[in-house]
Amino acid sequence: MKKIVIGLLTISILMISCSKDMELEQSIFIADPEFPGLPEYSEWGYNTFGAYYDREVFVSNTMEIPLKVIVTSDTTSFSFKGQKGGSINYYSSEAMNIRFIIPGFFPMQYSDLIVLNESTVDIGELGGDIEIYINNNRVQATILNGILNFNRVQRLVVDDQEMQLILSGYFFFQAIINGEPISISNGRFDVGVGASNFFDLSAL
Amino acid sequence: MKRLIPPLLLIFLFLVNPRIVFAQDSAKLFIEAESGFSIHSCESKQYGFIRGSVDVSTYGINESDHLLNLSYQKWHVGTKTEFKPANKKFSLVLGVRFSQSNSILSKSGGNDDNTSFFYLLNKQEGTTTEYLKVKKVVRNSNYIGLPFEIKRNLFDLFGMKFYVKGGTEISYLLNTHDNVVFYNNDMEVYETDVSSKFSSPNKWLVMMYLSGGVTIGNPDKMHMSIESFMPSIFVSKQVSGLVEPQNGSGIQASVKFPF
Repeated sequence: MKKIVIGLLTISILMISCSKDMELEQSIFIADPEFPGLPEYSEWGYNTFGAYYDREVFVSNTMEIPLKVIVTSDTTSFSFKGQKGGSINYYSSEAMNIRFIIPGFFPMQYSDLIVLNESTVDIGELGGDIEIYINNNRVQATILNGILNFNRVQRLVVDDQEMQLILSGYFFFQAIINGEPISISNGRFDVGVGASNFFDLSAL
Repeated sequence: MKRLIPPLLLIFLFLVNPRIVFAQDSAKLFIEAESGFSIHSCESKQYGFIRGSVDVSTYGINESDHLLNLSYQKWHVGTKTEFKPANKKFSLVLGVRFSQSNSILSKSGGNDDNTSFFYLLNKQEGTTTEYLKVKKVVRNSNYIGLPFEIKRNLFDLFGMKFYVKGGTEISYLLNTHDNVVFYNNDMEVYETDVSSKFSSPNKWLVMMYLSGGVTIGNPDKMHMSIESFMPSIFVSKQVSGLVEPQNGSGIQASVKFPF
């Protein structure tokens, strides 16, 4: 009986603490008047991203976690997941996922990403790669050039408690996708990274 | 300062005995005790240090969950002198009024304790950014002012006398106090930091109003009046500093004694 009570108490405490932080995990989409369909560049941890896929938009939505950081034994991936086309209010468009893969960078925990502050990763030069998935199917892509810029990485402290990191920056690249040259341009992101979207798979 | 003496002297004489000012011995004079309040709508405002605070029109999805709730109320008590010339059509009212305004900035759409707060950027140093969870900020400001009104008596109906008034009030800020309600009570040490992020209220508060009301009782003896302000408009800017109030409406009750 004691164990059940302790278990229930633990679950209650966990649920309360989780609900307190849910606000930070919500997406706040603030439209950029200069670039229709894209979120405005911000550094508040609004959990949004956006870019133009040629003339279509590739943006975060409220259904998917906008960014997952995945560490494996030889790379670290920054996986942006959202939708291609449509409006932020509708989900009739195609699911899309772009993964920036950086070799030789192995953060042990999410707080180690702070070293990326004011840094730019040149995908071509470092031998990194970009993977593109549309409707969960990987598309054939040859990356011509591209950058992932971390304009600002902040350690977020809320009420004197460290909560997460906020990663804000820009990206763009050009690629041959299914035989056609495509530009991903005006990419910007403002996302929070914490224990829930940082995955260390290096031991697998 | 010397230039202020003549108008102040006139006001003083009016309050003591308007007959001196207007030189009309046949006119009637009333001393009035009043109390009332008004509620004002607030202009949508962008706070650069509050997470999610942007102009409403730029919101996409989830806008209702992230907007702030802004409110402004003002109540007053005072005493006035009403000078009613012999023709009884128009009368002039001048007095002294103590007002307190109550501005509130809170989270809109927060239905329970877990969501009824907003994030306020407290400071940024290097790569560390500090937010505070704030439930609401309340600003109380006290003013002393001079209301000046022109009253026009309209008609009698069922023994009640209806009237309209146009007035203005010029008030001076006596003091102001902010109360910040934090999500976590331990954060009260940051109250001054939070308060300092908002603009100070304007030292002078100037407002104009139209009102309509009814007098109950014999207008030549002790009687009472109830009136409604609509609209009540601020002429001065940055009235509160916390929120920016616009047009409002309210009610006022007063008791008048012949003098």
